Amino acid sequence: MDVHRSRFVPYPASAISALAFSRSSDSGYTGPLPALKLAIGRANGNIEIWDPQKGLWVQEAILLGNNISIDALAWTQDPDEKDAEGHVLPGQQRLFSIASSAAITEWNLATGQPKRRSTGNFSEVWCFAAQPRWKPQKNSEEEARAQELIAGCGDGTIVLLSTTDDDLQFKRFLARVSGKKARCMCITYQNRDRVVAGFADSMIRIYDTRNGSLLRTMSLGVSIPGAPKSALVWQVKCLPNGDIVSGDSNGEVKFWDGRTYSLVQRISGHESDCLDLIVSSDGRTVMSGSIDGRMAIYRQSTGDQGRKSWARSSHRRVHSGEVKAMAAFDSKGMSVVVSGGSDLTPMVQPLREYGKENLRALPALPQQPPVASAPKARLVASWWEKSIYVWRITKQSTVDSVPEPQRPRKLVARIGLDTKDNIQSASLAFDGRLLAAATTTEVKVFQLRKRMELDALAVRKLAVPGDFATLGAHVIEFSPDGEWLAGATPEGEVHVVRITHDTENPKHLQVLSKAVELERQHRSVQPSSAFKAYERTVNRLTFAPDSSVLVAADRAGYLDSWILEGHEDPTAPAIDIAKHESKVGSSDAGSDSGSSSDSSDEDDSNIIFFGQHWTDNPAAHLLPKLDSQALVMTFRPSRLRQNGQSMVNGNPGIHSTRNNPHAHSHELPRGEHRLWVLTAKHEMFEFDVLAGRLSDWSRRNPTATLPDDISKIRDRVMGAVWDVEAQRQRLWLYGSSFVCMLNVGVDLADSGHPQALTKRRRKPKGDSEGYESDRKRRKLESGAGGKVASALRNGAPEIVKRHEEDGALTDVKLNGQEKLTQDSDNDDDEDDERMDLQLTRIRNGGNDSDALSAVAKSTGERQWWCTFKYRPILGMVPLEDDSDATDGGPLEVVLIERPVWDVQNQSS
Amino acid sequence: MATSNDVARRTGSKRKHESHEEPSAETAKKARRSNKHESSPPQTTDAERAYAKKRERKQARRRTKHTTSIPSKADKTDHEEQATKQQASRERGEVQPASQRAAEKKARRVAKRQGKGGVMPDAPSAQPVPAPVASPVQRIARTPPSARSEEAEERRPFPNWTLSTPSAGRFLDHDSIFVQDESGDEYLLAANEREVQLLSLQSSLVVRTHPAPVGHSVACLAVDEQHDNVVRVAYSDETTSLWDWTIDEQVEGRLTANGAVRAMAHARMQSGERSALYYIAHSGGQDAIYGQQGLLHSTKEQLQAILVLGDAEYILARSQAALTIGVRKEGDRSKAGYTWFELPLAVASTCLDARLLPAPLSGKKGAKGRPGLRLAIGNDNGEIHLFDNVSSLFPREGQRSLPPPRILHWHRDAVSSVKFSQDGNYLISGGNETVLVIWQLETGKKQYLPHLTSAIERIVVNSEGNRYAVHMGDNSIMVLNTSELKPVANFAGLQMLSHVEQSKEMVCHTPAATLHPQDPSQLLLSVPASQPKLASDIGVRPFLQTFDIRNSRHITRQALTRNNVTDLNLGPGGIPVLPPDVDLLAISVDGTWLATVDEWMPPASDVEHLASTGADLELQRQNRREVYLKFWSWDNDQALWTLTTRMDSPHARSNGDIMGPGKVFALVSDPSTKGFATIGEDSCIKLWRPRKRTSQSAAPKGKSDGPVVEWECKREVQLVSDNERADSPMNAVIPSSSTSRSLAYSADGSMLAVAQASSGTDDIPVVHFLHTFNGDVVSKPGLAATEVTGLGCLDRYLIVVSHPAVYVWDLVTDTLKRKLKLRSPEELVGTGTTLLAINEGDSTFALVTSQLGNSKVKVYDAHQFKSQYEQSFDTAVECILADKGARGYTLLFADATIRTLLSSATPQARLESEAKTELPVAARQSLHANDPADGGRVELDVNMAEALGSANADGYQLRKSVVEDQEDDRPVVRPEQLAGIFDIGQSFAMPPVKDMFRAVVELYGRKPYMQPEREASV
Repeated sequence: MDVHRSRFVPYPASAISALAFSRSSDSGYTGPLPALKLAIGRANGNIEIWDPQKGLWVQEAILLGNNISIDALAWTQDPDEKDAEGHVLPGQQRLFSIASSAAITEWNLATGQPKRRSTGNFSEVWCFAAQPRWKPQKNSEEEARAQELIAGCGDGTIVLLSTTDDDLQFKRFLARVSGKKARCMCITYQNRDRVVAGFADSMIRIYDTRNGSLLRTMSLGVSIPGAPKSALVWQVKCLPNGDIVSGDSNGEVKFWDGRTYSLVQRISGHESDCLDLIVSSDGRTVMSGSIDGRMAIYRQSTGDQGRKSWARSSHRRVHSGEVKAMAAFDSKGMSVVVSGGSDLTPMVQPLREYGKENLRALPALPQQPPVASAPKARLVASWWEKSIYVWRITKQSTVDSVPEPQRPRKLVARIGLDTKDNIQSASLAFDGRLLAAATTTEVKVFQLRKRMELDALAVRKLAVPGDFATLGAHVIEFSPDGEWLAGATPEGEVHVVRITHDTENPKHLQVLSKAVELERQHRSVQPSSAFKAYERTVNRLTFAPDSSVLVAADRAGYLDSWILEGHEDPTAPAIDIAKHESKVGSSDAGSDSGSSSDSSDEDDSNIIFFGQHWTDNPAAHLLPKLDSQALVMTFRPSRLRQNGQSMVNGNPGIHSTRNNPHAHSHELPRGEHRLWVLTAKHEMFEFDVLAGRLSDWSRRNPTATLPDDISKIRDRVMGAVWDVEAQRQRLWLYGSSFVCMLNVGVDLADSGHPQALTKRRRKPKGDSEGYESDRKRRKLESGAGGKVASALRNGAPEIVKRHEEDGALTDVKLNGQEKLTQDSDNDDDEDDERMDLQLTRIRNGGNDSDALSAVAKSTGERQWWCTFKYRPILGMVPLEDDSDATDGGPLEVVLIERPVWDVQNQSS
Repeated sequence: MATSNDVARRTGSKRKHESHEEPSAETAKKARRSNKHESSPPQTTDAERAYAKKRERKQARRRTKHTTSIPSKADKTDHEEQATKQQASRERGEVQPASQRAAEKKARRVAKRQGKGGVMPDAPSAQPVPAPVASPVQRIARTPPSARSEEAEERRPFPNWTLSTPSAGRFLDHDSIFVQDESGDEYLLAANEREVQLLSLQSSLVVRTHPAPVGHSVACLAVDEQHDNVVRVAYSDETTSLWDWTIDEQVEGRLTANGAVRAMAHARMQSGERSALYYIAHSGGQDAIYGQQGLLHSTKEQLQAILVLGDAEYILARSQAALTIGVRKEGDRSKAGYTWFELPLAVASTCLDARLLPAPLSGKKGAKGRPGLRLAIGNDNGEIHLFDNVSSLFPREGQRSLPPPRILHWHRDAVSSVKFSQDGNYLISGGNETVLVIWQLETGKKQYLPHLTSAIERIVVNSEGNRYAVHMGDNSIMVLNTSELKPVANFAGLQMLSHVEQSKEMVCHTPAATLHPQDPSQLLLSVPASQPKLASDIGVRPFLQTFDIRNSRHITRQALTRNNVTDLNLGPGGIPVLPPDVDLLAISVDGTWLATVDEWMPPASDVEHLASTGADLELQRQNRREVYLKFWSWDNDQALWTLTTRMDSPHARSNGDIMGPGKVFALVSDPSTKGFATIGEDSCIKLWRPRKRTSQSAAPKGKSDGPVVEWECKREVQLVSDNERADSPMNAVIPSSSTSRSLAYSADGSMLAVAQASSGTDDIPVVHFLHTFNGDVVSKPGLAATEVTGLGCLDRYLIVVSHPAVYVWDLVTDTLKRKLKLRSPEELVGTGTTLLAINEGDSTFALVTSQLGNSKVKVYDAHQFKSQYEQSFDTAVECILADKGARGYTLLFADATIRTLLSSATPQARLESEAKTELPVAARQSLHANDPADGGRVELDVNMAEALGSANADGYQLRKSVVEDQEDDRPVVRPEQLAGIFDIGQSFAMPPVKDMFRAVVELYGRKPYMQPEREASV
């Protein structure tokens, strides 16, 4: 594989400015638990939605903003409801943000657009907080009420907003503090009725939200010598017992009694401003982050005189820049603190297991690569905000005959979109003649043409049918032959348009004026979901290599597939609107599966393009729901590529030789269309899409056969590139920190390591067996990095040796404060085993230090390979040799890295 | 020859010790003196009885004393002052009767005293402190500390020479102990290997010492907390003894411990029982903890410190990798055993402190549970782990837990010491950063005491919590007042660089040390800021310490180069940039100028990228070397040396390489006039002379006194490196591999002898003679068979030290006068070194041969070249210095002790200053008288004659003028000066009478060439 290691893409990244978990703890939920989400707000207005998935940390979506920094984020959940059968339906989770304005924005998670903005007649909102969720009291008949929002403003006003009835309404002014420095810096609820607000005049004020009365004012007191006279209260938080913690611009963390509102203890936590605080759910741990990147942890302990007192336990420099925002989720299984700041990277630290587990950096770059390539034209496109950059990558010739070295790359087009929103997705056709870009509200398609003597491409905008153009799209994808463009709208619909040569000007391409909406199967979403529409949003689209099959996947893990019926017939009318399919009469494959055809009743027309039309995959209903959303979804290329010599049994994918005089064929695409899927839980499946079942390969190679070195990678996969030759089928997977290769042409299981397999086979059977063990292993971790080896652990040891009477030494295990390590023995053994395995592998592959590899005995080829050399990866896209003398050349990819220092330099 | 006077003096001084405790008024003293000798036996018994009584009633002792000797208990400090002032007169008065008495004493006693012998009269700390009041039993049980029997045996053949007991020395790496006597005066008990010292916080003086038995060293100390007048001392010979420091008595005989005691602690027993001793003993590869009940615990870990807390509820010991905690089992307090836990530590621990927390009230019956235990452990990473309460470790199985510790991380390097304050609210820690950090545990605030003079090694908090004793890396203990963090007392020792064993870049520094020519009791030496602790530390010596040998007291310390004691000076790779190393120093003959040579090379890691091989690396480092020759003038007002002239790169590189300066191999001071001579890598001799600056405009302000003096190179003489190879073209190519060069001035400064040692060549070494006046050089090969490592001129003789032998050449007759074999050649193969010191005062020279940590000192006289004195030492002699005042030699040992070798019978004692000038004249005469033996020699003789003659006249002139200068004024002795002699401290800390007398004579008379006292005794 030839790698163009490139850092030329100036992809901008911006600092983290806000963080919020959708809930802080699992406790207190009577009804079903909604899925946990983490929202990360950035300085460019983007909000990333992450699914912690018990420590897997999948980035699910990016809600694009408009370059106004997100100052704070808050989640609410509507009250639970009961349906007719008495099932508790969890209330929907809603996300709110504030961004340096007088507005509070609610986001539509599904479409990724702001849903509504609420402004009262108040000034810029500096901070806001959501009321704690209503909990049913034992003896009260009170009805569940939606959470309120409280916002503190720059002029000292505190505003109450209501979120009742899926709305956001200004409710009333709670208080107005006058004074020059009366800026409300932070606000939090002490209980459902009391709020604690910290102000820039070094005061903390307590209000009763019911009547707006000021209950108490607490002053930070005399600041340390040399500091400004009044300190800013950067953050206040409340402990579960009502005690208040504050962090101020002197770096002091103060603890206040929650009943008497008096200062209990002051601890100088940082040498610089303490910007944010979190508290653990048991109220015995507090963490603070400061402007110098350090994070300190405070623990409550029993002091000298039996008095409970707080003490700073340790600190660590976690971020290279400031720690702007922190969020904690502390529950039985997962217990983490996520922090972020100007160094772009969200850091996950264990909270309960602080010091015993590693911290983990989540990728700072988008997990859906904003990169596309036209391999044939050797073009690479990258997009951000409203612009698209297209580069041409020259072939790196190894021959010396080239007289003058060519520039390795050239920026050949720079397209600025005149749209309201930022680009969600873009796609380049395989031959590089077409470029499509989509925002949440618009889709634009461009034709790219080479100019005669200039390097730069000529860009021509194509007219796009109205509904397709205005609906916008989350994902947009050209078919490999460049004739179809599919887009998944924010509402979760999939639309397809046909692109053809302009009849009048053969050099021009045109988009046929009709778009067709492909019906998705109706599925009853799990009733317990608190993210209904969001989960059904399509976020992956892929065409088969012969462009005859289209598969869409949504966040819940459902797959929808459609096939292209018939053969292309240039003589047929470009757009032929046929009547309903059932009336036309089904052909050999016309046994329409019930649900799909039923659902398309009202949409009663089939649009036939040149004798072809899209129809539901008859076997679509057989495709199972994935355990989690698909991260990589790609069709296995047939053995032959277009430039291959022989056609064994594949579809060449070009239709030029097949001219069928029949106007309208219902012939289904032939051959097997094998869809290779890797889910968010790194489960590996391969489906025979047309047959609606797992492929033979997938049956032989369940997830468990994934090599350990790949399955233990914590970063999620971002994309895949195929490297197919006559003898081998390699799949290159990459995530933000790794690139790994799987030889999927052969079975993974029969090569490699019997040890690994025997170990696995002890476990119960099933496709998700690997996952089960995986999860079991992870269950003991709190969601951040893995356990710290006890030798490296700095602090309390796990084992103490006791000397027995006879002089022997026995190990005494120390149970943690939480008794959760019942089966830690087992866990340790397993870890040891894994360690051994890894060691033997390292020994075996000793000459290759950064790659752990296994070599198949039969072919002498590597079964898998993994490297962490390239990081962080923005994307990896394939290229093809554009010279005619092609075949069997090594795969050529462009690997785009965005090192953090690069990003920071640029932004500063 | 043991004179009766010696005995008398010694007994006198002993009596002084005997009496120092007793408050004295003038009358009381008189009375006491009258009955002193006669009442000695009853005194003994009385005191003994008193000691017995003291067990019951502490006051008894004082009363007993009152009855025996001292009628009144005067104000203590007042008494001390008086005693100090009166000491001299008292001593003087005592000499006579004492000598009479000595004559009557039994021969045995004399012999015994003699054995203890060379009581260094200058070192009060070295004064033997036998307990004359000890009971006979005790006397048997105790080896008289001063009775160095084997040395006495050896010394008998050398009656003219006395070797003092060692003084100075390094403080043990052991916490000192705060103690208080009954009157509330605070003291500190500290120990070096030789003795336990009682240091007074009032006066910063050593009050009393308790020497270790011969051949053994002090290992550790512990004070019985209930009877804090008694300190238990453990020795390296696995024995311990109890010393009552208040009355300077050994209380009980020596007990044998179960191995080499490494640390001890006393437990305070609440139940009124006698406190129990707990200690760590090392034997047979195992460390064991012993206590009241015998062996408590043994482990393979190397235990390093022991802490016994609260009624011996907990016993804590620390090794690098683990913390051992013993918890007393439930049950009868005295019999119950301990449960032992070992807490593994991920990072090597460096220090430990623990503190008891009040016991929680357990549920039933309101009985108190086990008290909590708070731990602070400092580690190598600079972190302090503070375990709030580890008592959760000790309940029954299954409930054990250990909450993670608080991590206090401020120190950059390993934490050397951590201690809880007395009230438990603070933690005090120190390390290499020279900052005392005070952690306020409640708020997390830190308070700093920065810019201490040296790295902190240990911190001790006294029981009231109002004093911290800070042991520092420069071998000093500073006692701080906790309320304002101001020093209360300071005890500084000799700071000589210690060689850490197995050091990677072991540069075997010979200490750059010299005695002040005008005041031979002052030793000047270059010292490191802190002693290197790890093998990787390279000791460099950027400081100058002035040390009073006579009183064994530190005088001053000043920086001679830039240094980074308190700043972090790290290179880009995190490797510390070391300060320059002062490896040569010399003082001009009048004591007003100091010349130093310091050298600096960048760390190897900084030039690694430039070098391919190891040799190349060294070359690259040398190319970037910095060498400075600095001249310092003595500033009387500030009592400091002030830099006057700095010569950058005084010598060039040997092979004509323009890169970097060459090494300076030797620096000597001209014995006749203000001037220095250096020789460097470039085989160039440079003579440096002061010069008055002519341009008045550039005169610096504020210095109205006299013209500005700067130094310049008066003469530069290039030596041909070797005769045969002088013209060889190879010479330019092959870099000279010479490793050292020696320089020696003749006594009158007219001739400079130079020898080059080139290792690796078999050439016959050449000694060059330089006429300092006109620069003529005469070279003479064949003065020694192998490379010359030392040169010295004594009278007309040139002493050439080479590897297996020392040659004494008579320069006048050019004959080999004597060849002195050192040890057998086989013995000297390898690392042996030979040091030479020449004392013109008594025309002797001393040779020290050292090998593998053993040294042998031999003293020869310049006339018969007979060995006058011979002595072997277990510890290496690092440096030998001749006392210019005809007093013998000062020996510096590797363990930072100093011993003085004194010639008591001065056969060639020159009492007048003319004696000095006599020598060159005699030499000249002899030169002329001698017939040249061969043609080649004539020239040398003539040259030398001229050189000697002319320089002689010159030197004579100079000296005369100096003398005249001094005689210009009649000696005005100010009272402060007298007070400076007598007001040193308490009476018991006074230097011997002889020295005080000499000091007084120095004040009133002239230069102390004569030894009036000795005169009297002969």
